[in-house]
Amino acid sequence: MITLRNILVATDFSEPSEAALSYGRALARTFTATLHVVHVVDNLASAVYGVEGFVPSMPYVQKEIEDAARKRLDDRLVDNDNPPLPTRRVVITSKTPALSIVEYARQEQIDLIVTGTHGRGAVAHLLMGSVAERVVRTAPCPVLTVRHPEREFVIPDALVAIAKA
Amino acid sequence: MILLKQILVPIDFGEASTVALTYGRALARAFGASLHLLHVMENPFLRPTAADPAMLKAAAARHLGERLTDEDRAALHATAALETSDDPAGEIVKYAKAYGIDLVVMGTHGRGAVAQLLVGSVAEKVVRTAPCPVLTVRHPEREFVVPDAADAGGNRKD
Repeated sequence: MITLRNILVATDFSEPSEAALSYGRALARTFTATLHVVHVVDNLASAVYGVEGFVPSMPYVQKEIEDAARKRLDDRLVDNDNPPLPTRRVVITSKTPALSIVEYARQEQIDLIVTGTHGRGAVAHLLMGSVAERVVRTAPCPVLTVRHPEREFVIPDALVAIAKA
Repeated sequence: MILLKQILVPIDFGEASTVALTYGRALARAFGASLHLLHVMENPFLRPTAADPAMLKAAAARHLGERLTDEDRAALHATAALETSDDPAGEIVKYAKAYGIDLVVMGTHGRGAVAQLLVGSVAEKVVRTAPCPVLTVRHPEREFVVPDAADAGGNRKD
């Protein structure tokens, strides 16, 4: 048997990420796991601006970006689940999203990472998102990669709620 | 909500695929899905070999069948398929399309620090080209995989 107590969904708010969130949510419900929804924002401070390019307002801009990301995570996780699904919304500031996701997974003893990959037509079909690819290669736990558009078996959660009512 | 009704576990008889089978089985139980096992043999006619190709094939079929328990066959409608191809990833994807597979669970090889950077090329290609989500499972895993036998008494029956 397997243990799934902590499930991490890495999201960049794209459509594949939304599909990944559907899977993460369903698995968390089924295995009564805690859902960690993680978004990595770019670290402006470590961007290459050169010494003379230092912008005094950077810390404020950075904070705004992080706050906006937190709000978007909140919007994604409207709690209409009954019983409510234990979730943690996590914003990480980093230049290396894949590494940060894997590090978080180690620290929090994540049992499964769910991540979207971009599949846009014939060419992109051959290219896994580089973040997803790196996560698959280095994660300490199993990784579920979800492509969008998927086969049509993803039913919007709202429809399920209606069907249950 | 998501639908997981057909779960495919490709088996290469490595340890990673044994772990993958544990996950595939658990997910099939949890979601009431059917379990498909698939082993892709290299085409024995294309390679010099001392053994009789027909015998090799029979042996592979037997090994594959042994991976499934009676409970798998009864409760999970488990089936085992054997294909011959020199493109295992392509064959796995083809099978997934043909059987309307909702999830592929497969092992990747993780042997130490160097191999950790190398996902099995077959798994990588499947992740890139599969028509459905793919769960990649590395071996050795974190220690949360309890042998099925140890868990036999306390199975969750949903």
